[in-house]
Amino acid sequence: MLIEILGIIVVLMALRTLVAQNRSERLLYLNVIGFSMSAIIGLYIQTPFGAIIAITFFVTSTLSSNAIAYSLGRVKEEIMVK
Amino acid sequence: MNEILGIAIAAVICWVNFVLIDTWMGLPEGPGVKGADVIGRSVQKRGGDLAGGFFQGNIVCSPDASAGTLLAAIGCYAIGIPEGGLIAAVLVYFGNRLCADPGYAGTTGALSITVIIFLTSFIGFKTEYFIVGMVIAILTIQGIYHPGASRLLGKIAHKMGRHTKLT
Amino acid sequence: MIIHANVFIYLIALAAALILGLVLRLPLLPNKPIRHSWTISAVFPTAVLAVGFYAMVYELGYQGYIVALITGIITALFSKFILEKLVPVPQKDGEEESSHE
Repeated sequence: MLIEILGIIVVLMALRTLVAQNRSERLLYLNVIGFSMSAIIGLYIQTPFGAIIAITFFVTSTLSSNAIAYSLGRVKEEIMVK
Repeated sequence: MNEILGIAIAAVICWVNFVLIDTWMGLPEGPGVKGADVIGRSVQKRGGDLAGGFFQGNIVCSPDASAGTLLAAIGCYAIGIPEGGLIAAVLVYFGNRLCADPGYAGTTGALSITVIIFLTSFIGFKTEYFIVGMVIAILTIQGIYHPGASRLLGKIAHKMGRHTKLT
Repeated sequence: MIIHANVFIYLIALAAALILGLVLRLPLLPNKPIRHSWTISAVFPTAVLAVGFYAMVYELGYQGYIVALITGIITALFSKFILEKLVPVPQKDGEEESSHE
């Protein structure tokens, strides 16, 4: 049941991401999906290696969100400079 | 312990754990990295509080106490209490440094929730409740209504003396 | 209160890392305000890494007082000499590139 709850959260956040207009707003919904997916990985693969995979996935997804958010800021800067 | 009740209580505990630790560690004070600035100002533009927006942006851009809480819970579930939480704390620390963050919030969140998971295991709380509870807690901050959540975080930041001085 | 032997062993790893860290002239606590400080100190991250590394070693199958002691010692040495090179402190601007048009 727990994985189903997390799965519903993932689907709901995905739908909100599609509907949202603002790119920064989307990043926040995607962040929740990152949390949920990491939790699902941990709950499904119940072994220690599963925990390592879940943690690695989460940290790397944060790194990519970091890069995206940073690029959003740089793009805005470049548009304003032009 | 009834599962729904357990998850609900665990969600509240996780929420309090990560919000207090993150606020204390200065997440609302300013963007830790540039990306958090973008998100914070976007939330402010949509009617939210800037400090709360920085908090939300910092959660996205770097592993903070929310990440530490979730990963320590997953570690405790799959590896064991307290080993899983301690291993998660080390990995969160390195993840933090990779994201240009000193690492205090993430490790503190991981260690504190490990203690909480250990203690509540004696009164019937299963570790899974904290995993799902943490996801629900982050959903309330990042997934429902950003301006409202940011205003709540801003109020808490004011109370703890961590509101941002930027505008 | 019943304390398992487990906790003692973690305390040994923590204490070994802490004491050796102080001997190697790491500061005890990071500079104030702690939350903004990048200094590698004896309490953070050395002590935290020590118990974490012992937890990893324990899961790999090695346990006991001597193992904890060795882990603490290695963590303090790692933290003093290797950590700075592994995860360098970022420049003031974070991830800004050096050249602008």
